[in-house]
Amino acid sequence: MKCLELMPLEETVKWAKHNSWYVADLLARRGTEGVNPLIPRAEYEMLSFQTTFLQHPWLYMWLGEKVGMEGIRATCSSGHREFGIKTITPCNIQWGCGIALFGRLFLIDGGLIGPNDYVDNLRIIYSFWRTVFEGYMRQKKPAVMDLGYALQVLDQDVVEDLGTKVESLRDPELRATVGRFNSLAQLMGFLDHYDNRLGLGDTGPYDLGDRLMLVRDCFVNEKSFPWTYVVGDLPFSYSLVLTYDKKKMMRDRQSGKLKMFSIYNTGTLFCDPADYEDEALIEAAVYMRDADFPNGTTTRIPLNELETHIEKIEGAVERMYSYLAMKPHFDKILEGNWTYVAASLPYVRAHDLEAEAASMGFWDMDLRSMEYLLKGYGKAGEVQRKATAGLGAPPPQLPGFRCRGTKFGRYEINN
Amino acid sequence: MADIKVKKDAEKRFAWSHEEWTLSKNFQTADEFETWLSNESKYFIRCNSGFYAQCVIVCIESKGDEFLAYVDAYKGKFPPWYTAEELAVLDIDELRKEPAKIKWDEDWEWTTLRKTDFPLRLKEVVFLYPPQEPAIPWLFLSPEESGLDKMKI
Repeated sequence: MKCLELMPLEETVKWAKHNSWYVADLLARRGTEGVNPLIPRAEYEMLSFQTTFLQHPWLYMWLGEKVGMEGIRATCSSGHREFGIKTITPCNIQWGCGIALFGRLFLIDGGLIGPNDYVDNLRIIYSFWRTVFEGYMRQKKPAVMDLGYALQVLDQDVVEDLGTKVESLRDPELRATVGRFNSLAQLMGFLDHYDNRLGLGDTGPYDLGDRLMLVRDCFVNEKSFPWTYVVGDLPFSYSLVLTYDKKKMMRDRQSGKLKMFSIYNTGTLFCDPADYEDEALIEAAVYMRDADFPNGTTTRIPLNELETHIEKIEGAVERMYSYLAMKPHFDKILEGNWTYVAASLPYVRAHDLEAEAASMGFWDMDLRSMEYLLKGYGKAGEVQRKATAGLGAPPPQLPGFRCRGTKFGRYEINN
Repeated sequence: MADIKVKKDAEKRFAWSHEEWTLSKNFQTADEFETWLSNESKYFIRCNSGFYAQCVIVCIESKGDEFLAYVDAYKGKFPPWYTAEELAVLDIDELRKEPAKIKWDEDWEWTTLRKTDFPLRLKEVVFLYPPQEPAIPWLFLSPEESGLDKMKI
């Protein structure tokens, strides 16, 4: 019988610790960015993380029964050949389970549960996570930092083919147009996903000999969200293929000018110096896709036709801002919640099981998560800072191990 | 590395660990142990936000008791909440040369060994993670480590 094979409880220790490092690493970077005052991020993260931690273990067990371990490993096989789809982006692949783990951190850091509560959920989530990652990156590692912040998902022949279809950005006017399109497509991806990174993601750098390449996907119109009607006729995604001057980057790394050109687990590029990307950028190509895998097709947009798309995105951004400004605060907590629940969509779409999963309760809310939200609401901001800095993820208490007692730190339960 | 025996896969306490050692070494103080662990650890994970991390499980004998405990050690600051001024002067390439410090904070659940456990006898060390394997070494590692410093481009 097909099933999700569960890891022993002790093994969750390994994953929890690893998890806390790269989460801390990532969130320290995210902290350098701004906050959108229109969106109650801490509150909707608290609700959605708890929702998925409590609600989604059934989904992972069910997927195990439907497609087996090999099927779970094959979740991202479409992302090895195609882009502009959610099975390629690390945010979507990782955070479906990753935010469920955050749910545990929020609950523990909020003093609402102890580290040995819901340990079966913990085993199920980590077991699914580990198995998905065995089939995601080329090197089958669980985190980009394990590979020196290079996230290589696409097969090399696909990468090399894309490398032949880029256009030079020597013309300053064209370069500026691509720059505007790049910023707008990313902004729209963010907005469509309530200001979180499920709406966009880079993979790469891929090595093309004399160039490095990134593929940047921006999911500007997720059709499963009700506000797709606000977004209008934008395609499901835009993608940019970007190439960089490798020799220049090597020289700059050698001289110490370039300290970092790193893709994080959210598919986010962080550079030091911060504006380095544009300095090394030499070529680009743009694509759009009308629907997520397993549906849809990808179409190339010649760079001289970008203005039409820029206009369309500008209109959608304006409508989306108006929508968010008019929306009541608590409604936004609920809607933000669904964007993170949707982080598990690629797991079901990969096997064409979206409709069946929805009929089984994919979009339902475990009411315990709402109960915990009400108990923890007042300290959502404080708990978010701690939990997302990787300060949670405590190990479950295990026989033979010295553990902290209930009077220490987050082992205390307040309710 | 004196007296350290690397366990074979079949002998491991945890099948999922990266590497396990057996040894018999006495430590009088926490400082002595901290220095030893920093020198012997091979698998620090480099995180670009400003720290190198290592977490091991140790089996120790102390005060007539034998138990497993976590030991979490860092070069740099964890959590990496640096101020802008601290970040401006932080050189992650150079940080690797610093000694690692164990995070002994009272409420830190990833270091359950305590300073009051010393003197103790260390019997096992379990390394949880494999080392990083950079896909593009010259881009990730310091030019000195990757050999880029000697490369003609």
